[in-house]
Amino acid sequence: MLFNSIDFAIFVPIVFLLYWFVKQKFQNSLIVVASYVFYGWWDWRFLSLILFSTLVDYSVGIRLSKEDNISKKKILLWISILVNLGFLGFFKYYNFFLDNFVAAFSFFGTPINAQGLNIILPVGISFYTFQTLSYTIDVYKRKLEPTKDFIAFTAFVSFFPQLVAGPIERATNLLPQFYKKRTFDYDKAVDGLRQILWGLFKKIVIADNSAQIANEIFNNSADYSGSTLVLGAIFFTFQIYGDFSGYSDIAIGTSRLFGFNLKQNFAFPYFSRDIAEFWRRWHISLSTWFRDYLYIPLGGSRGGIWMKIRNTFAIFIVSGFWHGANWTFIVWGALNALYFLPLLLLNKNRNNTDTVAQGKHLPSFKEFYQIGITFSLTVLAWVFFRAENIGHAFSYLSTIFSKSIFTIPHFLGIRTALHTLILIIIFVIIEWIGRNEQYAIAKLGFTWKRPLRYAMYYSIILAIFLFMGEQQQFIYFQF
Amino acid sequence: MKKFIIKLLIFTIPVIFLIVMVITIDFFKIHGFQNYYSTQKIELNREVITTSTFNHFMKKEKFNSFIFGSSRSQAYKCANWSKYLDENAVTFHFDASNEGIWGVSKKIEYINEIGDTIKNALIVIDRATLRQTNARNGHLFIPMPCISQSSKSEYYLTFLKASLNPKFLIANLDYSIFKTYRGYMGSLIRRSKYDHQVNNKNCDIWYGYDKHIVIDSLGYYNELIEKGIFYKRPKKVLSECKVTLKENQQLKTIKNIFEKHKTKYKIVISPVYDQIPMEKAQIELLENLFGKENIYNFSGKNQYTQPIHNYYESSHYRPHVANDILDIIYH
Repeated sequence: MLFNSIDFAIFVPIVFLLYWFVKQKFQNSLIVVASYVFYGWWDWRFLSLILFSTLVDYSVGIRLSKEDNISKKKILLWISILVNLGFLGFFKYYNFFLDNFVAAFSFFGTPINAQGLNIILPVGISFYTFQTLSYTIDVYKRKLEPTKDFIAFTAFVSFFPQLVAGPIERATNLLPQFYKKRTFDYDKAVDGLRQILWGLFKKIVIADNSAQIANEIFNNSADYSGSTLVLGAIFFTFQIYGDFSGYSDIAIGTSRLFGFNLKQNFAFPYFSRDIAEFWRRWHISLSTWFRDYLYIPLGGSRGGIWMKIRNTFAIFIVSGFWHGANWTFIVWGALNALYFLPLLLLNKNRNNTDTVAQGKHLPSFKEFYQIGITFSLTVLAWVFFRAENIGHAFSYLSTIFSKSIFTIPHFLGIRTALHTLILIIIFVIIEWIGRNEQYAIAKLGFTWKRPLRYAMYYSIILAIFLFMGEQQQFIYFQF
Repeated sequence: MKKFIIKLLIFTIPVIFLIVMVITIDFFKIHGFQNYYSTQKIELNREVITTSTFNHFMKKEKFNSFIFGSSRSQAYKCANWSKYLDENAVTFHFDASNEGIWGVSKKIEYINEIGDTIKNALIVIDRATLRQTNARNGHLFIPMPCISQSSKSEYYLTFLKASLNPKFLIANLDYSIFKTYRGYMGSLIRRSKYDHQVNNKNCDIWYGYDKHIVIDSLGYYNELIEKGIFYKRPKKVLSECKVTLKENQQLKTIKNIFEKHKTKYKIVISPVYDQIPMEKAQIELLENLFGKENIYNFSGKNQYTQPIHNYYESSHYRPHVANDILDIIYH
C-alpha cells in the first residue's frame, strides 16, 4: 500500500478511528493486525518472513536475558544475525553474488554455468531486518531489557507507518512506547497531519515531477549534452530527497496520529556545509545504525590512520551495498567515503554541528560557498546511485565533463522542467525558512490567524492537485 | 478527539465536496457504458471506450475478429476489413491511445480468458508500439483493471486526480456553464470544427478532419504546414528500437493464443510519417515468430509515407492509405 494511494487514504482513517475507540489493552493488537494488512496488501506471502523474524528475535531476546554464559550468549546473538541477514542476503543479494562469481570465473578462464533465481525482493526487508537486529544487539549488550510482551514486540517490528521504508527505529526508542498508555493528544495529531501534508507535497509535487525529467534524461543520456545531463542529475537529487524524506515525513506524521514519536530522519541535508554534516542530516536512522552497530564496534575513529581509513570505507561501502545489489551503489558509497575521509583525517568532521546561518535570514558568503560545494559533490555522487550500471555512470559523467557542458540544455519536456524548477525553488525557500524545525512547515504560520493558516494549508493541497506529477513508486521501497 | 474530528471535517468539507462533485459529474465517462462521443468536448481514454464497449456488446454481438493497435490503427475500419474476411466474421476495433505491445497482448489474453474466440486479427504496429512493453499511466492511457489485472483503486484514483486538477476543473466547469471557449482553456476543451463520427458497437471512428479536408483541403494542409507540423524527413533516429526480453515474451504470448484459437492474422507495420524504417532485428523477430507471410512492412520512405495528404498530421495516416494496405495484404 503506497502512502500516496487512495487505499492508504481509506486505510488510515479506519485504523485511526478503531485505534482510539478500542480499549487501550487492544491498541497494540490492532496495530499488529493493521500492519499485517498493510504489508499483505502488497504480497501476503511475505508476511511469514516478518513473522518468522519476529519469533526468532523475540525468543532470542528472552533467552539472552536468562543466559549468563558469554559464549552461549554469543551463539544466540549469531542466530539472530544469521537469520536476519540470511533472509536479506538471499532475497536481495543472491543473484548479485552468483553473477559476480560467474563473471570472476570467466575472467580467469574457467567459465561456469549457473542459473540465477527469479527472486522477488520483499518490500522493506532491509528496514525491518535492521530494526529487529538492533533489538537483539541492544539486549545482548544489556542496553535494553528484553520484552516479554509478544504483541508489543510484534507491533514494534511491523509498525505500519515505518515498516517498508523506515525510519529504522531503535528498540530503545520505539519499543517502550508500546508499553505506555497512549491517550489522544490533539496538538500531536494536528502536528502529525501537518507533517503528512508536507510529506505528500514533497513526494507528489517535488519528487514525482523531478522524476519525469530525471528519467527522461538518464534513460536517454547518450542523446543529450553535458549541460542537460547536469540538469538531469540535479533533478534526480531533488527527486530522491523529495521521495525519501517525503516518505519519512508521512511515516512520522502518521505515527504521531497514533501517539508515537519517531526520530527525525532528514534534517535539511542539502543545506550542509560539508559532507560530514550531510551524513549527519541524510537518512539519519540508517547512518546512526551503521555508526552504532558497525563503525564503533570496528573501532570507530580511534586507532591509527589506516584504521580510520578502513572503518570509513567499511561503513560507507556497506551502506552503499545496503541500498541495492549493484556495483553502482558500492561505488556511490566509496565515493562518499572519499569525500568524507579528508575531513576525518584533518579532524574537521565535526566543524559544522549547528544549523547553518542560525538566527539569520541568509547564509554568509562562506556558508553559501560551502553549501554549493557540498551540494555539487552530492549531485555527482547521485549519478552513480541513479545510473543503470557503472558503465552508464562513467559515460554520463564523461559527457558532463566534456565541452558540451557549455551548451544550452535541451531535452524532451524542457517546458515542464522549467515549471518544476520554479516549484523546486519555492520548495527550497520554504525548507530554508523552516530549517531549524523537525520539518519545514512545523512552525510556519503558527502565529497567524486561523483563516490565514487554513489558506496556507489549502494552498499546499491545491499545489498537490495542480502540480501532481505522474505517480511513481517510492524509490526506497526497492531497498 | 471529538474536537479533532469535527475540525478535520470542517477543514476537509471543500475537498470532500469537490470529490463528490467530480465523481458525480464523471468527466471522463468511466462509470459503466456510455454514449462516448456525443458532444464530446474533452479528451477521453480511448482504451476505456473500447474495453467498455467490448464488455457491453460482447455477449450480444459475439465479436470474433479484432483490429488491435494504437490510434494509428483507426485508419482501418471494420466495415472495410470485413470484406476480406469470412461471412461470419464479426469485427471489433480494440485499439487504445499510445497502445503498446503490452496492451495488445493483454487484450488478447483478456479475450482468451473470458472464453471468446479470435478468428481473425489485424495488428497494426510501429516502432513506438514495440517499445511500449509496460502498462501505461495517466488518465488518457491507463487500461481498465479487467485488462491490466491491476488495482481498481489506482485506476479510479487516476481519473479522480485528473478531474481534480484545477486547470482542468475550472476550464470544464466554465465551459459547461457558459458554453464559451476562452483562451486559457487551451487544449483542455476540444475546438474542432467538425465532430468525430463513431460506430458505437464496433468502435470505428471517423475523424472530423476528413470533412474539413473534403471542404477545404488546401486550407487544412497549408495551416498545418505553416504551423510546422509536417517537419522535414526522414527524422533523425534518436534511439534504436531494440528487441527486448519483455517484448519477446509478449509477442510469444500473442502467438500462443493465436495458435490456440487457430487465428488468421496479419501484422502491419505502419507507414509512419517520420520515415524511420523499422529495425532489421525487429522484422526478423516478427517474421520468425509469426511467419514471413504475415508481416507487412510499410515503414521507411515509400509511396505511402511520401505525400503529406496521406496524413491528418505528422502522426496519423488516413483511411484511404489503410484501404490500400488492406488490399495489398489480402491479395
